[in-house]
Amino acid sequence: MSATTGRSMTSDRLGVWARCAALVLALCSVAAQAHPVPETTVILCPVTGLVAAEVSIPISELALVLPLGRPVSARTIEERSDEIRAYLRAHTRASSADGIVWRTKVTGLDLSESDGPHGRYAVLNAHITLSPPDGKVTSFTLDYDAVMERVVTHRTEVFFAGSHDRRQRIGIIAPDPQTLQTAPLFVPTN
Amino acid sequence: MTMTRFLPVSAAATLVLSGLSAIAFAQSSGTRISMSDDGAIAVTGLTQPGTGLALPKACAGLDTPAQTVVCMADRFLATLSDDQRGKIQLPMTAENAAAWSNLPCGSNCRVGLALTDLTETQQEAALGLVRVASSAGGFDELTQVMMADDILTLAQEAGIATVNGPPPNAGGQGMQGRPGGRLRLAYSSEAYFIAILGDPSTSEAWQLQFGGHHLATLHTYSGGQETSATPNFIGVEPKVWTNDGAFYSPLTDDRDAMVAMLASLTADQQAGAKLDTVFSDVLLGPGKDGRFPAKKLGLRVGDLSADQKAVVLQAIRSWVGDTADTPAERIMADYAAELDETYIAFSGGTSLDRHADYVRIDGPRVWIEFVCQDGVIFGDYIHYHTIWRDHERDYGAIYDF
Repeated sequence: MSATTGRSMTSDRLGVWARCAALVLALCSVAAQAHPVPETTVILCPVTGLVAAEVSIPISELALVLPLGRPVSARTIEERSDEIRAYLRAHTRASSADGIVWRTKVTGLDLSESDGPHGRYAVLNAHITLSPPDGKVTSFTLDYDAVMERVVTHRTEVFFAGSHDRRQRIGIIAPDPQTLQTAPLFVPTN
Repeated sequence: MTMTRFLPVSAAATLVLSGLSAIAFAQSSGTRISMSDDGAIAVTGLTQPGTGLALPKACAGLDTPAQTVVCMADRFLATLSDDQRGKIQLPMTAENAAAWSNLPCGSNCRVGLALTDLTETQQEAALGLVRVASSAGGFDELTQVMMADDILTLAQEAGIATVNGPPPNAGGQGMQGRPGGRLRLAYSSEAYFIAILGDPSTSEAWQLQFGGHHLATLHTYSGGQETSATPNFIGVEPKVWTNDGAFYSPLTDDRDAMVAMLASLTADQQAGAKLDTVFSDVLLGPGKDGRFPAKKLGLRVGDLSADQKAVVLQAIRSWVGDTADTPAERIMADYAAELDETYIAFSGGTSLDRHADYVRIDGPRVWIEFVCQDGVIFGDYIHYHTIWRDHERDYGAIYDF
């Protein structure tokens, strides 16, 4: 682990979340152009000692696995926060090449909307941290199947935002129509 | 030129049987749209594409439907410039064959040329070709789907496209978790593409593609007959509307056939047909060629009564019957022979009126999916996506997927 002070690390992480959030807005628009059916977007941003994941899930799709009632409001998200956090934790797993499983923590939830060229819809933004036990962020395998574990037509587009705001589309996680299973996605960090 | 009239396509379509240049597209002038509080969409001044089409005498009275299609294909190709022909008549490759989509992605996901790139005479010839490749009802259905795209644009221009609730920071006011468009999209009945793969022939294999948003029709011919009418994607938003007082609901019969099939089941049978998984779109849409699930799920039709089997067969016919009559009957005979080993399954509700209500028919060959999905432009209402595939005969079984 680098010798970063607690204060600067906090500042670093706040900056990363802001950068991730900005990327979400830009990248969701790109994703929507290719796939107008609402889909999940995951932006992975490395920060000292962990990877920050900004996960944007269309409410209409999330509601198929976690009945939230209609309309869904910020209050709904707040009231169901524990349940949503537990669900996301259970379906988000990162592990190193040596098989070491990273710690998953859902640090925040908020509601926004996607307003791309193919429609406007409500989105849950989940702020998730993926922390390797030794604090060394390496390339890793992302095993993420939230929503997709039941909604087998849903898919998730994954991006990696490296240094200097360079972002790279890592790939798509989607159930295989033949098996209805999702495959883990390898995420190179270099 | 002496013309032979097609049979009227439906009571809903107002046929213009005189005036051979009557091919008309919406968004011209004088069109109006309104939506009442209960969501009913009323349009005036739109024309259903293909209205007034007539069969040239040279292509009438031929021995087989496939000969008629070849005649109309040759007639269409003869109207094209060399440059247009180079873009429309393409090699028969798996890549070209699979270049279709249900999405409003224009030429980014399709081959061929859009109707908007053709002259009025060429458009008439193109739609005439599509007409003879379809049944009367099938052509009526697909041209209503094209018409629906004009309505999507009219709705946006008129500002009646749904805007979902208040912003998310409005506390308890809330917002609906579903799509609802407010941005302008390139929806148009002229944004439908036509392509011919190979040389139209009554002996050699060739293919006709026609499609756009919510539509992909692919007909394969070989040995003087249609050997495949799949993949075939058809969907529609909005589901229903009126135009100049006439009622349009192109996929309601398909939906009703599926609802009738599920309603015919006993409670125990419905339990056996219910899937644990959820579908918010069709499973085997574009790009999913050959990706049929390894295991058939749901209820085996062979375990149903004769009356129930007849209802399943009728549901299958709702899709197969959209292709030209003779090949449709041949395909139906094949599917009927395999009916006992066909499975039906559903997810969500059996009324097919809510987001992610889904039903599937999966046989040794037949594969049909129907799903309800929240609207994109009319976000308070669902719309339909459906696909018909054939486990063995998609694209005429010419390519490996």
